[in-house]
Amino acid sequence: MTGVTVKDVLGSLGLGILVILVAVSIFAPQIAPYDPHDTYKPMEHPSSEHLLGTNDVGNDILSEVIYGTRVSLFIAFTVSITAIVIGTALGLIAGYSGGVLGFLIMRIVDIFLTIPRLVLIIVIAAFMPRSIWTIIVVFIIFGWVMTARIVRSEVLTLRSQYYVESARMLGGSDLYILWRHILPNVIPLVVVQFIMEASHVIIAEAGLSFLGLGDPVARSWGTTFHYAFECPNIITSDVWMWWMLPPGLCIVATVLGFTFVGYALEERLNPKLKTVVGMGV
Amino acid sequence: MLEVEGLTKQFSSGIIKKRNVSAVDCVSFRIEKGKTLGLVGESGCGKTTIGRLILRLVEPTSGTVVFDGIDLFSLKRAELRKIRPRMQMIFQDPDSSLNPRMKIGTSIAEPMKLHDTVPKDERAQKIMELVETVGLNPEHVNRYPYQLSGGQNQRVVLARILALNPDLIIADEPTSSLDVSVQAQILNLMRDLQKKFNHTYLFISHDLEVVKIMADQIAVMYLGKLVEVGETPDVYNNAKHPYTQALLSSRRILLEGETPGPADIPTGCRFHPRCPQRRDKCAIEEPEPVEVGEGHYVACHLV
Repeated sequence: MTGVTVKDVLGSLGLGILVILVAVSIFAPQIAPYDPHDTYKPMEHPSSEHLLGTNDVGNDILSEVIYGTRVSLFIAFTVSITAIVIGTALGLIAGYSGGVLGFLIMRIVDIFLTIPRLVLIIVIAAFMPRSIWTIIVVFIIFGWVMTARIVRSEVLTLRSQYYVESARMLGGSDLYILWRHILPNVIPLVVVQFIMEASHVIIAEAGLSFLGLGDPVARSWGTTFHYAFECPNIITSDVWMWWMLPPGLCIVATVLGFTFVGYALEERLNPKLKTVVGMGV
Repeated sequence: MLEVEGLTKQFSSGIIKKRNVSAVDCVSFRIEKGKTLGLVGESGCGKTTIGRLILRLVEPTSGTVVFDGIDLFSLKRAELRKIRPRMQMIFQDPDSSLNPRMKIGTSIAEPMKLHDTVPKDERAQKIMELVETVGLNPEHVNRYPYQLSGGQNQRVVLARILALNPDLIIADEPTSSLDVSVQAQILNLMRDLQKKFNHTYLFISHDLEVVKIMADQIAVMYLGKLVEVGETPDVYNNAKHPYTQALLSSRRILLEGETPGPADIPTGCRFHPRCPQRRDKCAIEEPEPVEVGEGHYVACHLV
């Protein structure tokens, strides 16, 4: 509101990165020069025909990375949206109703929090069929926990606000109060949480795919990385520069994009909420 | 109109070793229609809890509250919600009584929507009417609570309550967070509204000057119990309880020590450790309320 800050600049930069990536994933068929499953002469160096060369089975690497944007972002958004919705719902219930139900939800949260998330995800993913849906489900199972916890604590604060009590006094039902008075005030937190979760999933998914647990057909950036790494002499020759570096940079760019946006939003959304609520106290 | 009988609330804490803290202990009073009862006491004595208990925002431990012939504590949730519009509460802090993300107009319209008291097409006009009744400007309707002052927000709260046409209004220190000049405006507004709509008020305050202006009857509370109840002039001119006398003395009769917390309530008369006129009996036996004049009750061994 007052002048442009570093955070605003970073936020716009992050938003720019994300918009480009989303556009690339939506228009992948138009942008990519080839179908990523078509095979050409394997292990070609970059040329005007194949800007990033081809891999060991002859797929065009640039097209693979462009289509990989689709897979990576699809997983990130599907997981974070679902996990955030579940987490928010459970957090609202736990925070608002309290009682036995709230207690149970929070104990489940505690149990989940003590489990080393990535290790267990690797174990589960290793035993399930290799598909992007496996990855999505496994990440959702662990993704809702933090959100539920954060939302609950915010609801506990909001619940004691006079305007929530007023709404009850005016004759509003619990559902009405949750929907009209509590949810709108936790949304800023949820948005930030969504961004953090998405960036976490991008990294975790890349890690999982790098270990060879990704979908071999719908190749994400991590999967491309995985196959590149399996290729002998990848590091000793120049091949890594067009086979490993591009998907790696994409991962870094996406995470930075999410982080910058989250960084800017956190400042913007939270203090505003706090100062407005806290005014005159 | 409102009869409160033996109202008690104990909060318990701890899971294994239960500890009971009694916030309100066997409080009884009644308010006639169109009258104001001023409930006075220092902070933490249970005044606010009484207000919340009457509205059942907090569930009571025991006692009865009869509102216009209806026993409130026997009502089921759905029945309670139906009667809620008739009893409303104004909270201490007007700024947090309104949802910061709702425009003033939306907040005022909220009760109309919830209870469908006003047809949809007449709501906008009704809002304007209410805004005018409480002395706000029509352009305030499109603002947010943080853009208004505390006094203006308290007017919004009043407008919103008026939309429901309530019989009983519990005002919990409605002016304590406002500037003195604004306080007077809000108090005058509340009195005008009472005259106009014949509201019954339970006026909770720690400020005796304010209560003196507002109340027909006064109830003085100390540590969860009423120590003195009576008509305002009787209590002001002829206070019998040492605690009331101390509160009223302009030079402030200096009381010894501090108010004990509700977790460790003294034996006998709750006030005895600080009472300048205590006797041996006071530490052992709890005084019962005695009628000292018409409708003037005092719970003290000295009377």
